[in-house]
Amino acid sequence: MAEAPPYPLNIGPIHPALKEPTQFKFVIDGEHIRETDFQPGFNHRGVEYLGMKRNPLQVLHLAERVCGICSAAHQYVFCRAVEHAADIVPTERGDYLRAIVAELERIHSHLLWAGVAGHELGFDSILHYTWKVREDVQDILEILCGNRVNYAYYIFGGVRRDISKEDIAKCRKILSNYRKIEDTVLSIFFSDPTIIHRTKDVGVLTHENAVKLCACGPLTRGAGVKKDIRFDWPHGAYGDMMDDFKVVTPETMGYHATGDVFSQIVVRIGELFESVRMTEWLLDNMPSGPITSEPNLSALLMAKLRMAEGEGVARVEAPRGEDIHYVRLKKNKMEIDSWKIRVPTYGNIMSWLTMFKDQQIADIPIIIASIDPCIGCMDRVTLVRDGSQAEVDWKVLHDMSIEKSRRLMR
Amino acid sequence: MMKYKSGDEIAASFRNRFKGHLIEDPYVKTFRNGVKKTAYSQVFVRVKRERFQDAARHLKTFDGPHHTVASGSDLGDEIEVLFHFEVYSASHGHGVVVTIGTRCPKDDPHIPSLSDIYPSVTPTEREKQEFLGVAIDGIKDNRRLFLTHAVPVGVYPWRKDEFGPEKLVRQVHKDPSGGGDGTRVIADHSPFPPGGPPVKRKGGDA
Repeated sequence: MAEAPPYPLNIGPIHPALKEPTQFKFVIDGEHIRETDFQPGFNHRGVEYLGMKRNPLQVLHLAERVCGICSAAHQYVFCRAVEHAADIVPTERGDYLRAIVAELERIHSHLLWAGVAGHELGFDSILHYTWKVREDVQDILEILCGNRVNYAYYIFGGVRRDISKEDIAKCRKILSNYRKIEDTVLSIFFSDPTIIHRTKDVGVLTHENAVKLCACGPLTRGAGVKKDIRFDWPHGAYGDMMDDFKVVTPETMGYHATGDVFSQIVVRIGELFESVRMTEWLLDNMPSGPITSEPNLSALLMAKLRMAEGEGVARVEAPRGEDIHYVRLKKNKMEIDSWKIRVPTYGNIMSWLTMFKDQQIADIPIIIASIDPCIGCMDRVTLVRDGSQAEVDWKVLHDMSIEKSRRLMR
Repeated sequence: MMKYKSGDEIAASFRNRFKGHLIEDPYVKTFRNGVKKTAYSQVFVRVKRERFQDAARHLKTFDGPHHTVASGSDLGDEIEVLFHFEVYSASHGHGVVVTIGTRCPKDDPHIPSLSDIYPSVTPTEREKQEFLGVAIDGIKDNRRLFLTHAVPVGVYPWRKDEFGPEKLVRQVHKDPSGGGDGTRVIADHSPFPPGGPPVKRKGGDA
């Protein structure tokens, strides 16, 4: 006779609704989820350990490789943590250019998420549409930074590249295209019956739990908590924008903040177009002057960073939520003495687990995708062999590499 | 309307309340960026281990404490763990980052858990146990979080002493876990051997 319910149900570690390795262990009773456990770590790369073996200029480029989607956020926050530790003050124009790239990254990340959410709901035409319009913002990022991902744009004291008048005109033209499609995107996401039926009252994070479990990013704002690092802790150019912009919550978009997946959609789509307006505001109000306070890299490394003694915490609002780095520097030591990264997904684990309670199995993919998880950020090679969970180590990879080379030589 | 306290007032509050139990005098860093030079600040408070939970509770006297993460460092003879918070979160411009930390000697690597005060700290406390070899007394979930069998129990990646990963890193090509066929599963157990966290006696002998 079959065992009585509840039953265990493992989802992951391969492709648990998203193409990143992580595992959910559910206890189910019929179609309903009773308990949830979560296992990250399948892809832990030891980025902090690597960073503590390198000098800040080297770590700058390691930091942006923490994540491929919010790489600007990690480089931005690492720069600011080091500046806070070493008492380096960024230039005003540098502050504005930093914020422009951070907001453009939010636009591309939210569009990417919107496509993934549509895909999880079986609505692939949304995926195709949002990823098509996402190419425009990728073009602006390429104009500004020379690359679509891993921008290498930030440096201690400012940024590495200025923006020309011609490029500003190109950016404005592309941004105006986003203004034109705003009504279409809003009507797709806020009025479509399929989206409403699949996301309303699904994966609810209550206001109380959002506060108690210290959720961050669009997840917490969807529950009606007005936490947004850009406005709470007004760093960089954001301090200048306090009067012109407000935190986006479902209420500001004309909806109730119910904390379900639909509320998160409302926040992300609202923020997407708010970021378009913020980028235009930043271009309009950008001061002139130098883009960095110390253009000479040797002087920056040897005179400032090597001689610095101190610690600093920095936070930025990455597209997925609060990104915080802690850095400690020691005098006459080239390497970073201590480094801690906390990515938004890490901060949302505890909230995530409460969102599955009493939900249906069929809603697992959209609830997983709803917080816009980035496991690559949080962890840092995985393989399924014969259906068993396993990890590949250096030796196996090396043998596979040799085997492939020999195969190609035949 | 709520009266928001500045970073200096928050530091002074900890200074007065925990006099005689502080590892160092609480200090404030204030920064001004952008064209308008809007100020924002961060406070660092380090208290002795026996009053650490009290200090975390004292933070609740300020509105809206938001826990983010704990960082940790090997200081040589001691291990330091810092919990990073923000008070006046969701206040549109009044947030202050407050870091509350404590230290423990390596011959007694234990610090108290803050999970009864802030339920969100459990993942980061699990990470501190497995990465620093420090026991968090009262932790709500004693399993490892990120590390796989590739890192044997007894090796703690952020330690800079004999319990650190240097030997492991040098021999990574030799498959130190002894996995045989090179496949390993995620560890689903305590980060410590049965006797508890590694104790480093003064004088250098483990």
